[in-house]
Amino acid sequence: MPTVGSRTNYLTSKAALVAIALLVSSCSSRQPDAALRKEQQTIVSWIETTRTIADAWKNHRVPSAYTSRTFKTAQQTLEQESRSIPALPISPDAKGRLVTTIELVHNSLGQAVAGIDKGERPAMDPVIDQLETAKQTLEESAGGPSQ
Amino acid sequence: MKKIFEMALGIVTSVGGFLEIGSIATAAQAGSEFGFQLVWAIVIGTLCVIVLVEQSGRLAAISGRTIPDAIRERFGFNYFLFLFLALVGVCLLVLGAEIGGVCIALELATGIGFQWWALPVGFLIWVLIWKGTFSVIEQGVSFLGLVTICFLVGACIMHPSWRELSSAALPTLPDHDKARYWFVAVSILGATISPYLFFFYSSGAIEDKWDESYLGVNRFIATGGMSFGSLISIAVLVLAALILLPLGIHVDHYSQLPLLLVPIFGKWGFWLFVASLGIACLGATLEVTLEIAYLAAQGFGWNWSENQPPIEEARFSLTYTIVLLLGSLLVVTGIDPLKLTIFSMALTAATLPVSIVPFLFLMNDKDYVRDHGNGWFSNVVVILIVALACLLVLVTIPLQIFGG
Repeated sequence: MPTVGSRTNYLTSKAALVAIALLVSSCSSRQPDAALRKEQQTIVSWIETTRTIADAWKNHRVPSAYTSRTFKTAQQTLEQESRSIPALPISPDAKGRLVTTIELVHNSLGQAVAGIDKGERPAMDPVIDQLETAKQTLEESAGGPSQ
Repeated sequence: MKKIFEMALGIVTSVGGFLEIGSIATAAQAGSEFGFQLVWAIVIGTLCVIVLVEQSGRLAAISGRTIPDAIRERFGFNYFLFLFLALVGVCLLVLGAEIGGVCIALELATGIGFQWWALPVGFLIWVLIWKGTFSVIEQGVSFLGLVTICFLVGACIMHPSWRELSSAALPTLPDHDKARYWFVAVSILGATISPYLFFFYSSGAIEDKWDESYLGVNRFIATGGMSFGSLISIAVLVLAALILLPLGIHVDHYSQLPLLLVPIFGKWGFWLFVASLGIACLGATLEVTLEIAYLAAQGFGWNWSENQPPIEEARFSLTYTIVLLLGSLLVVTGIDPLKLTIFSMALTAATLPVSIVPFLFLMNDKDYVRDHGNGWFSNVVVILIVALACLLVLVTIPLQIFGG
């Protein structure tokens, strides 16, 4: 026969299970807004990283090897992000905008790496402009600066 | 005069020992994502580590025993073995992260991938330990580690709001990314309250032949050295908050870290960062490697001392050789050093209770500390640290899943 103690234990364990289930579901179900914001945040972070480094390289503040390597890392990271976009719970329009921005940034960085190999520092100016435009486009589509 | 020199040296050494890839990476992530908001985690971690380091040094100076030695004697071999396995597992990951840090510095400087540097760096460290004495290793790298003061200078140049900074020393709740916030807080605590730090400190006290007359020196070094080290960590956080956060740069990759100093010092900023990272991680690699060897030797009753020739302590020497090889091989696999760092720091936090609970018993046992045992206040502080450590055990894995 169940005692008061065992009934209390039963209720406690059931409450704990419900709490864990709620915690897991609240953490794992990504809302569309949150998913979009997170993705934009990652892209903006890499755009700003590469833009700042491009500007520093143009002004002889960082070595070419470091600049080139970081740009290649940024390209790889953005490729990975691009592959994960189809699975995001966001609208097809938003997905399209993200993919277009990533392609634009990817191409600019490819252009920049070629310029670094040739040591053409003034050639970095259009790349910096393109990165700035990409960031603005992303922020406008998000309705404000992303942080 | 000798004691004053030793105190100054101790502070320099503590600064060198405090800052490593874990504290740089976690502080940079905290600042770039949450501004000044996580300063409290560094402050709390520092207070805890000051207490534990002071007690480690006091125990060594009075009893002539290191913490692992005393743990084995007081709690028996089985408890020691449990502690040994838990710590060695975590320390190997931390070692991989630190070797990775040195390799990253070399990659930043040369453009050659970090994996290629792992074995040469492992060999260089092995030669330093094989040939060097304890004081050469401790003081040489620590003096070079003073280059990390550039973070402090940089933070002052940026003119942070001192009011905002001081108010961030008290914990506050996050207004966004709650799981991430707590995960970064746990990682900071793991990077700050590293068992290897206070275990290594007690071994160092024995190597330097401390006795009862060193209690004042010990207190001064523990408080001054750790506080100064934490100031540099806070400086890294401030730089990330004032430079990276406004640009929207989150630290996801180590190649983003030089941006902490380049905007302030220009070309020199890049090289100062590379030197700081390389030297800080080299110092930490030496300490973690030696600590694993000390732990094994003290627990299993082998001969140990970095001041003796390797032939007189073959098992101690063999241990650090194997440990270095394993740590280097971890980096050779190409594992992302930043991810390894953050993971190992969180895991360090999860193993803290096993290392800290024995302090409560050892520091109140007259057989070890005679009349220099803990007072009620010190005991309450250690109990609070144990409670914090237990909380970290409970939350680390869920936070790793949801916020890591």
